[in-house]
Amino acid sequence: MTVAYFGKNTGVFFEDDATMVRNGTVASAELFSRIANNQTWLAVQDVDAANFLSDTYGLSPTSGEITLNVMLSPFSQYADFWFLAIRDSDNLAANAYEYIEINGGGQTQRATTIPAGSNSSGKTHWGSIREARWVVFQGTQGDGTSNAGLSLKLRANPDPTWLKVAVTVQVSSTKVKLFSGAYQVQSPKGSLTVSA
Amino acid sequence: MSYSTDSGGAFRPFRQGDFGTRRPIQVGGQTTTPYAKGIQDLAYNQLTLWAQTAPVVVSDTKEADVVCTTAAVDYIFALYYHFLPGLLNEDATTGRRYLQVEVTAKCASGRKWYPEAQTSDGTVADGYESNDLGNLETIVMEVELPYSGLDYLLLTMAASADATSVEVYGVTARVLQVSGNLGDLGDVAGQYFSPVDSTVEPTADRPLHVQFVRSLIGANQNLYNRNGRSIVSFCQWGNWGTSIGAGVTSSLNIFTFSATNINQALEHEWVYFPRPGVRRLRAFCDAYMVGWTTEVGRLLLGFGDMGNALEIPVEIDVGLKDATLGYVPVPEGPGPHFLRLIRTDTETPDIKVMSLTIQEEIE
Repeated sequence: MTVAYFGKNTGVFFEDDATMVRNGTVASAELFSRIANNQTWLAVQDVDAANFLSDTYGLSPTSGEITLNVMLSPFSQYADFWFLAIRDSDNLAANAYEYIEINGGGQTQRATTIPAGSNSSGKTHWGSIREARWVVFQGTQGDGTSNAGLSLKLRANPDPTWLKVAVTVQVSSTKVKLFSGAYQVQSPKGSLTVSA
Repeated sequence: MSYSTDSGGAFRPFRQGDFGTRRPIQVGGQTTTPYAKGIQDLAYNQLTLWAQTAPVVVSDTKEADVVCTTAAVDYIFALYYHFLPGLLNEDATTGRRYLQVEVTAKCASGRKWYPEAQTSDGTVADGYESNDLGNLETIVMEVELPYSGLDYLLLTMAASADATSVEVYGVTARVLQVSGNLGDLGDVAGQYFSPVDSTVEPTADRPLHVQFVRSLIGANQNLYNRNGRSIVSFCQWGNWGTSIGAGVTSSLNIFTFSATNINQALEHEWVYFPRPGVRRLRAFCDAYMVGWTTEVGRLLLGFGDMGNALEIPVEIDVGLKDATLGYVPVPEGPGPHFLRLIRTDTETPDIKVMSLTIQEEIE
């Protein structure tokens, strides 16, 4: 989602024509405004994102050893996480509360909405990898630590600096398998806090 | 004016009206004229952007044992292919671009592990060692980028005792634009990046310098162009010295495509959050057929979610050992888009993928 700054949608980085700047030309406020907007876009909208995990056989990191780092842009606080995952389909009732957990910035988020493989009545089920689906940690309602599978809040307050934050990933048991994982930092919402 | 090159460098955002048409253009920055932005703030931000942004080159996590058979011997355990432009300023003796590489691992207590990073021109970052507590530790290495640009990043592992199993969990690499003070870069003919310097810095009694304004414009454009994002950067972790070629049955690989799950491999799927202006992705795939004799396998990489047909995929033929480079067009729309790697041939041997890199191509 793009963020509007100064009443403009600066979701798209635009180019300036450097050849327009010549000796004798009167410097215009518009020229500097465009440079400033481009700088702001580069700083706060061109956010960090990557796929960070991939495993053919499915990974069940139960001790939080999977570690990555995420680079927060100025004023950004949250990161979304995506996992291609599956939950053991045997004894679904007993496995209903299996979860994926992410930790970082002193916060913890858990998602329990992990799709189960279909039952073992002749269909492909647990043990096969055909039915993995994406589990997304997204949304900031409620903030902070929760079991709702929200975006991970990696910085308590908006700040004009870049910040590298360590994030760890684990699952509740070997009944959950992860096949892929990705993250994207959320560009800041609303106006940017200005410090004089 | 202070150049923000330390780790705490702050960005100075602009507000509506800072460069309004009804206001005089301010020369001084917010430090001299509180609550009003000026063109010195633009210069400050230019340097801050270059000093602080650190786009990701490698982000790879899994669990793998790297067995170091003999103490103090370097074993190649990871090889990432990635293409990056060369130095900002090839004549500069300081302030070169470099990679910051982080390796997270552990081994048995009482022993140490020693990672090294090497770029494609042979530049090595070494001298790093873990503690001997047996706990999980992240070691941060810094290695300069080659003049000609980066083609690959090679990682080695050594241990303090024979037969040490080093458990590796994470490798991250980010490119940092400079290793020294941006002001040291100076003004060199033919350079890619022109940091604004004191000779053209605007002051109250000096007319605005054309070079100063062009530097600001060019710096923004260069930063965008040179920081194409890495989307997928995975490789196998293990002993690369013995794991490729005919007859290999090693389990060392990142992906296995068996002959019995052809085209069912939904697990080989990744997310792409598109950036404006990116029309295609550059992909590099290193794969082989297990026990190869004459068979040719085929992998397809393209966009398409969960069983849907791939859009204009790149074709990867796999034999004894193959490394294939191709380009994948990016679909229109805001995304996220889903990238998938599937197998389409019907040969018997497994296909094992040793390394896969997908990165943005900005033209």
